[in-house]
Amino acid sequence: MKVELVNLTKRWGDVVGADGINLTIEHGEFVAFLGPSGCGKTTTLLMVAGIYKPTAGEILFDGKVVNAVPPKDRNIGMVFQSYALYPHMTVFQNISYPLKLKKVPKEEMQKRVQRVADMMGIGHLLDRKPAQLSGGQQQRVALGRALVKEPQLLLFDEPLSNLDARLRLSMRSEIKRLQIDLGITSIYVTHDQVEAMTMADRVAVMKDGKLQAFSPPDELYERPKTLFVAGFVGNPPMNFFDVEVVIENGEYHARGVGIDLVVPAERGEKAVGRGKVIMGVRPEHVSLADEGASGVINIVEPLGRDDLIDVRIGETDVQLLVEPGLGLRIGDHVKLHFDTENVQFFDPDTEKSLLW
Amino acid sequence: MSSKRFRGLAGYVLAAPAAVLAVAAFYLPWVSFIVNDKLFSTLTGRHIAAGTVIQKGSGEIVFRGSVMNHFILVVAAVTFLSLIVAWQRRRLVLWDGLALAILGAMGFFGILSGFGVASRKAGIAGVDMEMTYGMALALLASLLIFVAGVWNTVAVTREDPSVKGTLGAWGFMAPTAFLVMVFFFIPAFILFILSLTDLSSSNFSEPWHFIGLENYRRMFSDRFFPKILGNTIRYVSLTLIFFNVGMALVLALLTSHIRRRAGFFFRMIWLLPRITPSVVYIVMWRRMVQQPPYGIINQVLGWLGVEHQPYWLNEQPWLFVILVNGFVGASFGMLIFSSAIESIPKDLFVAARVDGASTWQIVRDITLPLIKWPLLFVTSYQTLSLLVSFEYILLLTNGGPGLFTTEVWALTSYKRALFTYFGTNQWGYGAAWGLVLVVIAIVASVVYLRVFRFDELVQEPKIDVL
Amino acid sequence: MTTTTFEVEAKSGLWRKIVSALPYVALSISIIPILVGYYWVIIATFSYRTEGLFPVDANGNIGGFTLQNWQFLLDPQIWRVTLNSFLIAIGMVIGVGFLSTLTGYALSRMNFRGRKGFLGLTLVLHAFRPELLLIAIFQVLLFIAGIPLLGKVFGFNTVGGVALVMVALELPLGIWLMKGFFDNLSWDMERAALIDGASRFRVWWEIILPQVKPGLAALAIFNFIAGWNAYLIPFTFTIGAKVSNLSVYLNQFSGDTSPTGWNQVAAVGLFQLLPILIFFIFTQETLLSIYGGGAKGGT
Repeated sequence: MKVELVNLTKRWGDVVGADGINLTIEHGEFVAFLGPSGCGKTTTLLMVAGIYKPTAGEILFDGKVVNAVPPKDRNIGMVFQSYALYPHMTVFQNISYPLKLKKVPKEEMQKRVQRVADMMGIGHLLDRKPAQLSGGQQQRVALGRALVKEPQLLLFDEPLSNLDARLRLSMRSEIKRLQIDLGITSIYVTHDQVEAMTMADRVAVMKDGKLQAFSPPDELYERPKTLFVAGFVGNPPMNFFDVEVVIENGEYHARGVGIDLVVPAERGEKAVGRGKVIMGVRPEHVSLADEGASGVINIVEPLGRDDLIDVRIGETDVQLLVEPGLGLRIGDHVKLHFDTENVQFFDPDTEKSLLW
Repeated sequence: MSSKRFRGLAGYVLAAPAAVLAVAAFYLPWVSFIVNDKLFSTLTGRHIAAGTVIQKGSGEIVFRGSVMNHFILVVAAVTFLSLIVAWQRRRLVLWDGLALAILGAMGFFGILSGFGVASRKAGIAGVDMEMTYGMALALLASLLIFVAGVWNTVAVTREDPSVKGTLGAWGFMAPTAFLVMVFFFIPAFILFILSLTDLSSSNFSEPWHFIGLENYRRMFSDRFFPKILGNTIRYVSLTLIFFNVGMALVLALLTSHIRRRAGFFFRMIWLLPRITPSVVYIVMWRRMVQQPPYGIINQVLGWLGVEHQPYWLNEQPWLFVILVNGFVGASFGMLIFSSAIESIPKDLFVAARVDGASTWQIVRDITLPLIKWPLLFVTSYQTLSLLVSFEYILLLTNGGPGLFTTEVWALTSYKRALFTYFGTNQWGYGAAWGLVLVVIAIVASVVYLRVFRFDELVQEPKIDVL
Repeated sequence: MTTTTFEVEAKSGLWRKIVSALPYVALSISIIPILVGYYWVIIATFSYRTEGLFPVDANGNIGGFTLQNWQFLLDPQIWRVTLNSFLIAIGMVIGVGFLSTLTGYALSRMNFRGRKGFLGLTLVLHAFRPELLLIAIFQVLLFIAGIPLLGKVFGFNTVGGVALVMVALELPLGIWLMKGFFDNLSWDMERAALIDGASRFRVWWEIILPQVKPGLAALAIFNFIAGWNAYLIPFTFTIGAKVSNLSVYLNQFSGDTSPTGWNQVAAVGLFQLLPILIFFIFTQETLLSIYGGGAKGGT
């Protein structure tokens, strides 16, 4: 099913939940809504589900406006963070509830529930109550309940947040595999960028109810459209500097306090002559070197595989990853090399990218 | 557009003539003449459907129309008002339909009830009562107005699907809304009207009149008014101070400073009077205060060598009125205070102990300031409760012994209106006494809901669809 | 020097013991009247006569055990009024339970026009004490009594009428209580049910109600006790034994002050107390929570 959101807005009095969201989700696509808590991603999802009524704008399923269609007639399945299982019903009753409401004959119901349960690997738990299940099993039941009615659209509201780290990893790939197998259009709300980047075909980044970017994960990472997206996507986050780009000897120089980098011409030319701009460099593009910008180590955080160090250059803190075991200490003076191939520039006022 | 408007207004095509018909059937002699209103024309010469048949001292049988008959005027008036407003607006809203439906139903049952009452009275007077054509027509008209209301409602629902959701939600609310209407709003209104009339059982069948504020004048100039007012103040303040707040606070403090199970046990015992049937509870107390050799108090006094062993209820009526009410009333505050005290973080007490505070200092400096709001809540809530309650006094002393010794305001109101204390039920006069308290109660409820911010307990629903 | 310190400590140890026993003593004294009342009812029920705290026989000697006070059980009228009491109590359990869960649900979890107004109204009514409306409710019941059929069931001087009035007057409290329970339920669960295809009514019945069973049970106990104990409203709106309830019956009975009469009164009283005592023994926690939490304070 193709889903279109047109200027979708939700307000409660002065509080804005979602503000003029425009996006189109193609049939069979897996889309993630990514953003910090309170950014409006769940609000938008609930409007798609029909639980919230939009204050303005339209929701279209396969070209038809469904604003006035109640949730039960939208043919969607939804999985919640809290699982939202019915505690007084057994697993079988939970999964079969949508079918019971559709008045599906007993035998067919039995068959379909069994099939879905087996697919989810919970076929042996059908007589249990949710309280007797582990978190992972409960989430499988919830997924089974969403799938059993063969919906045309699957909605996920942070389904893995309540699981522990290992389970989250395995469920992640499982959900992704299921979605590819079944080919159901899916919207996946999460605040975890790794989840969004690894699972989704396209990621919609939201902030304060506004859509910041809507693009495939690699594009999101390499060509962030706004300062917010650049800072939010990627871990450790992108480093930002206040610089001015000038041409000297035919080379583009980005100059800030304690820093002077030569940047590629095709990027530099878009930022030149604008006065102060914000330059972004990802931590993996910064390394320790014998020559370069000098600074003082502020923090050393051992992460196991790498050490994350925080170097102060002028007034800016720069984060970078280094090999562990270098014996770096707080207060050491180091020099940093910047790989400027992938440098980003943003307008400090509009916070929009100057490049894309 | 025009078809929509037509469908909307079509309800009125039904309702308006029905309203005209109903009024005509009731009030126009020539219409009534045509439809041959046989019983009432012979009895009264007036063509009113329902009322009371009475036999005068002279043996003459007289029919008197009930006020309910004139309700048909209200039905008709609202029908036309609604039509005019809808016409001006050029479209229907939900209320157009609902108002007609509710009004039609009220008219229908009103006339039916009027007839029922009239025929019962007629039966007592030995007269046969038949439904008149005028009445049948009015019934039919009410029914038509009801149908028109439903019609309009459906029309609105078709035009605007969101109305369907609102209607669905009100489906959940309707039974309660109906009961609240019938047993809170209408009685409050009736009470107000009653208080302006001289309706009593001695003239229930005779004409009764609006007498303006006469009941209130009579109330304030009543010989026993100062006595009753004083009694009320005494009853409320003493019970409140000594039991509902005072004893409650002492009990809460004591039971929450001893072992948990023991505290729980004492609280349960104190709850017993509240869940004991009031009648049984009063029997227990009555037995305690009996004369020797039956009374329990007097037996104990005998053991102590006290000679004076009277019937204590007559000797000290106030003491026992307050004890009886207090033993019931203390548990409410006790439970509220206990849970408030138990929710105070234990660290505070430990810290105070470490600082060397005595138990009394801890209570004074920590516990009491922290349960300030529960204290205020219980005080205001129970003031109102005591002010309007009278069941235990009714059962224990019935306001006696003697004249008005323990009679409080609420009891006076109740007895004047519903108790044949002076041989008659003076509904009008009793209503005047009652209305004063009702107004106080309404104002007090609103005020303390504001003060205690009950509205903050109200959260917004997190589902929009209905 | 050392001895003095010891003395002080010993003193304070004893003193502390006395002080820590004081609350128990005070509380024990405070419940004496309640216990004595109950003691008397139970003793008097099974004795010929009582003098003060003691059961006595015809000659005034301690003893006089008898079951004759329970002869009232042979009187068909007692069963009539017991049935009426039971009907009123059950009527309240079902009526208030059903209506307040229905309305409480809508007020707590549905977004509709008029919700705020009705919520405010419920709050005010919850605080408002309706006893004084009885005068006017009397007129309403007379009105209902005039309606054919309906009047026979819910009119003045019918058990149904009494139950209806009691249900109506208890509703604001029940709604407020149930609304509190509904407020705490998971929104996601309800959303899931709506998406699964349930209507709001089915959500209420199949998903929400099973979650509030403890609250419903508490409300049911509260209402059963209120209905079973009811005196004022049955007394005001009924005439004659056919429609009166246990409380009214007992009160007429106890108007007689003859010594034997008292013991029969005690027996009927104990008879009426039995269900209450059973609740008392088996549902103590619930009782404390309902009377402390949402229940309106009586006098």
